[in-house]
Formats: sequence, structure tokens, C-alpha cells
Amino acid sequence: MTDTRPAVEADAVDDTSRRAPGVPERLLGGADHTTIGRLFIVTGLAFFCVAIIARLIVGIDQLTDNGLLGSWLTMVSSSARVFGPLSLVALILGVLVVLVPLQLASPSIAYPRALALSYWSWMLASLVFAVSVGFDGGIGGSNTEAARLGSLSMGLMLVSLALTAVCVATTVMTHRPEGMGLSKVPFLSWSALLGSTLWIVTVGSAFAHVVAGQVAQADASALAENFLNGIAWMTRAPAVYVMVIPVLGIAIDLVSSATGARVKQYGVAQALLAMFAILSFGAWAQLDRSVNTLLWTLFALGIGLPVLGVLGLIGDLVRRGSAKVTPALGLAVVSLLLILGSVLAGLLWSLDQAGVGTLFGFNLRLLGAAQVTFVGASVLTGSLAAIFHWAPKIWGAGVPTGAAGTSALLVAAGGGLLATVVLVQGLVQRNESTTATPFFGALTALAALLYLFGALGALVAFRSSIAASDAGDTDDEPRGETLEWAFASPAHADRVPESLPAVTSPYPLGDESSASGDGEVA
Amino acid sequence: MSEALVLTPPPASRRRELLFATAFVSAGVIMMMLTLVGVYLAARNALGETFLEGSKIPLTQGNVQMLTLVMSAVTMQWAVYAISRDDRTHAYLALGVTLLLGLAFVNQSTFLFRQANVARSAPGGALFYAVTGANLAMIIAGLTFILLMAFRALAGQFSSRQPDGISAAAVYWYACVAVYAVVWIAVYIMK
Repeated sequence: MTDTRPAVEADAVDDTSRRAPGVPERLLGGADHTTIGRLFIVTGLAFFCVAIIARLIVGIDQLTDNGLLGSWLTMVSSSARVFGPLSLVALILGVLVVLVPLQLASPSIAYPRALALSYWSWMLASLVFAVSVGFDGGIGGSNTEAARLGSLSMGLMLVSLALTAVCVATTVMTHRPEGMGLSKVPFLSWSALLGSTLWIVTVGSAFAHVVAGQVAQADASALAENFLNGIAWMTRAPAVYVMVIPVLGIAIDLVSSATGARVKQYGVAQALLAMFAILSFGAWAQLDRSVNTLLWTLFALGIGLPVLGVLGLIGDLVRRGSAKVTPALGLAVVSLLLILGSVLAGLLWSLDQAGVGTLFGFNLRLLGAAQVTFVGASVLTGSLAAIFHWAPKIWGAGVPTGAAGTSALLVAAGGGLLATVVLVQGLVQRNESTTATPFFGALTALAALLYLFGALGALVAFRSSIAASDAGDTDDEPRGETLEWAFASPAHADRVPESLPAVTSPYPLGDESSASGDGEVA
Repeated sequence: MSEALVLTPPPASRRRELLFATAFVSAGVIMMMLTLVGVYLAARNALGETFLEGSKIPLTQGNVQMLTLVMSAVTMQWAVYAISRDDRTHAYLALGVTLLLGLAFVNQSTFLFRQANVARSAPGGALFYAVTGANLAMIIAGLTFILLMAFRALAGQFSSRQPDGISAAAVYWYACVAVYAVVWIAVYIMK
């Protein structure tokens, strides 16, 4: 809703009657996008750790021949595969919530109160979902009441994150500074616009099934069927790629910033991202019969082309610029390679489904799980790349290289291994066989442990960055040519620079430096 | 004097912010409704003769509802036209007529539900209510949106320089009308 209240003048309030808001008041009542974005980042990563712990338990269960979870195995496994990716969506939306307004030099995001609402409702829904899993509900549980709670809370998570996406997309459309048309928007913001739009329409379609399930007052088994037939399509190609769209923008902006080189064919790069977004629209492929079609194959494989194009662009940037290898740069490249892993899983699925769909007898459920695991790993590595690179603006100071590097290695190894294990398991366990399940369980547990330590390491790195900032060791050194680097660190709504350079290209800060003879443009 | 907590107020909104936000929300709602209709049609195709067995969905109410919404789309556009020319009297009149037509739609819906007498436990019964109920909720949300914008227009917040609120309400309302057209064809005409 448009807020037209007059701004409170500082002089209008008697100083003696004022007191600064405390931490709880700032957290609960504040609507500063940087604060809420940080909350999204930390909570999203923490919830993702919970999902990874669930994957670890599933791996140990497989290793011990179902001696740990018993009949809960499918429920815990399915719930983790929903809860984990949704936590990662929150994580990457948190990155966008902090950075997009800064890239547009806007003091605020569009509808900051709605943004706060979306964060708190998502967090509440996530907690309720976790509780429902504890009562054998979640996704695929056998307790009807808990399963209904799980379905409802999953719907609320989806809608809450869609509301966040509305705020992000509206910001890109309406908060751009003068002179910054859409053709000059930084890639992170451009991908945020595309990703948010696709997320909104995809969630709209998935939420319809939640509504149908609730209106029917379905029991536990019907809700499990409702999920498989109505919502599981979000976790396979092409819809699964919606959550990874911003990773492409992050990678281009990050590498451009790290190498000091500009993207030469800006429009082509934007078109690549738009092509990726179009090919990630998957609401049309909800039914199983729509998967075994030429169109699905084109979508599932075609989406690899823009990723290859972006990798080519990045290679060109590295060639022209002077790249210093950092954990963020490494993670950005890995995040793109992980998308290609998902495309490979889609290719194997297509081959299996060719003709009458019995060519190889691959386990399609596991191939679908491999896609979402690869994409999840890509979202995590891409998000961490962004958080490490833009750490001075997000936390106030850069992250310690040692902690960030260790975290990056563990996350890349854990994510890549976990997704590869699921993929290979899908290829080996043909025709629903259970070949080498304990072995795959051991590998899953190992990969989940690496993943978990990597994510926890990232949280430690964030803490170090915040501590350095609190100690006054802030980092204001511009690392790029886009407008977010003009903000003092840590960036905040009341820290909008008093004067900003005129926007005549996608790199306004670099233009200003070039004009004053301070910098060189590769 | 007691201490007063002062939190920073949100900054003033930008031009077209509400319009774009409404467009994005409308896109999500349209996708939800289209998916529900798709699920409804798939279930009807699968269940055949047993679908909504024992119920008789009347056509008259559905037709009148469609006509009502088409008229309301015209009056909504009249409101947008009037406010963009600072013709406040006509803007208020158009918003009032739109609200009246919308309420008539809601009234007709409740009548239709009683006439159709669809049991939720019948095959496809829950889907019938999911589709028509969600559509009704969408219309009620639209009416609330228009009512709020009408109050703000009465308070003088919208004019030819700032018509966003009325335009945004119109965008959402047109989405409501378009979605109902699909529901009308899928549920009432093609039965």
C-alpha cells in the first residue's frame, strides 16, 4: 500500500522525549532493507543447516539399513528436500534485499513494511513446518493433522517468499536513479527482476495445489499424493532453475568487479539471462506426461546454453582483466558449473524417457532429486560468493580470507559430492533396485557433513566480519564500478551518498573515476 | 514527559510503485487461478460422468455474473479516466458503481452456491469450491482494494498528477474480470 504519511521531522520531536530503539524493537519494528536482508541471510543459512542435518540422518539411516528412521525415512527425506531449497531461496532473496536497492542507490526497498511481514511470516511458517515434521507430518508423513499443518506451512513459506520477491521486483522497476534504464541496470539487479518475476508466477501455480489440498480436507496419504502430483514439479526441470536465476547475475557482476573489466556486450549478456529465465518457466510441465515430450527436452537441455554463454563472458572478463583468485571468485565459477550438473541430470532423464520411457530404467525420482540438489548447491555457492564479495556493504568489513576460503572449499565439495551421489545413485539403482544403498548412504552422510561444516564456517566468517565492523575496522574501499560501492560500510538506509555520479552507462562509479583520471577501464 | 519510542518512518513511495507491485501480485494470482482451473478440468476429464454427480450447476447466474463484471470493468476504466482528468465527481461515482456491481457479483455467487448444491464430499466437489471460492476471494480482495483507494481518493490523495492508486486497483480488477471469464467458460459453460 502506498505510504503517504509525512516524514517525521527531526525537530518536530522533543529530544528529551526520544529514546533510541533497542535491539528487539529494531528487529521487530524496523523496516530497513539491510537489516531484514541480513536476517534473511542468517536465518536462511541456519535453516539450511537444519535441512542438511536431516540429510545427514537420512544418509546414516541408509548406511544402517533403515535402522534409524524406520517408517519416517521417506517423510524426513522429502521434507528436507523441500525445506532445504526454500531456505536457500530465502538466503538468496536476503542477498537481493540488501544489494538491489544499493545498486540502484535507493535509500529503501519498495514496501519495506511488506518486506518485514514477509520475513517474519516466512520464519514462523518454517518453524511450524519443522514442528509438523516432528509429529510425522511435513511432506509425506502419516499423521493427517500434522501433514495438513505441514502443507499449510509450506504454502505460507511459498507465499511469504513471493511477497519478498514482489518487493525486490518492484524496487528494480521503480527505484532506479535518473538515467538508469533497464538496459543499464547492473546484472545482479537485472537477474533479481527476472528471478523475482518468475518466482512469483511459479509460486502462484504451486500454491493452487496447496489451496486444493486444504479445501478438500485431504488426509495424509492424499496430501502426499497432492504434493507428488501438484508441487513436486517445482523441484525438477525446468521450474527448479527459477531459484538459481540470480546466481547468474551475481557471477557476472562479481567477476566484473573482481577483475576490473567491463562486460563489452551488455545487451547480449542481459539477453542470456532473460533466455535462462524464460527457459526456467515450468508451470506448464506439472504433469508426468508433459515431461516425456520434445518441448520438455528442449527446455531441460536448452537452459544449458545461457549458462555456457555466461561462462564464456566470465572467461572473457578474466582474460581482459586482472583477476585475483578469492574465495568469492572461486565460488561464483563453481556455482555456474553446478548448474551444468543439473542440466546433465536433465539430459540423462531425457535419454531415459526417449521413446516409451524404458530405455535405461534410471530411477527418475532420484534424477529429479539430483537436479534440485545441484541447483541448491549452486544457490548456496552463488549466495556465499555474493556475501563474501559484498561483505563490506553487508556486514561492514570484509570476511577473513582463511575462514571464507575454508567455508568455500567445504561448501563446494559437500554440495558437489551430495548432488553427484544422488545422480549416480539414480543411474545405478535402475528399475527401482536398491543396489549399494548402504554405500550411497555413507557417501551422503559424508557429503552432508562437509556441507554442514561449510555452512557453519560461513556463519563464523560472517561473525568475524561483524566483529571487525563493530570494532571500527570498516572497509570503504570501492571494489567495483556500480553504485553500491558509493555507500559507506556497512550500507544502511540513512547512508545514501549525498552526491552520486550521473548514470550514463552501467558503470557510473567507474565513469566518474575515469573522468577524474583516477581509474582505468579494461 | 514519558519517553516515546521513535522509529524511522518508511520513506515516501515512488511513482508507479503501487502499479508495478499490483501487476506482480496479479500475475501470481492469475497463475494460481489458471492452475486451479487446469486441475479442475483434468479432474473432470478423469472422472467423467461421476464428476459432481447429484448436482446441477445453473447457467443463468454465471452468465449474469459475467455480464456484471464486464460492466464493472467499464466503470472501473471510467474511474481511471475521470481521476486522470481531475474529474473527482465522476471518479467517485464510477468507483461507487464498480463497488456496487462487485457486491452484486458476490451476492449472486452465494445464490449460485445454494442453487448448485454441490456437496464437498462429492467427486470433484472440493475442486468446484476451490475454483469458485478462490475466484470469489479474489473478487472480494479486489473490492477491498477499490474501497481503500476510493477512501484515499476522497481524501484527495489521487489526481491527474498521481493517479497510481486508482490505476493499480483497476489493473487488479481487470485481472479479476479476466480470470472470471476463464472460470465462467471452464466451470459454467463447458459443464
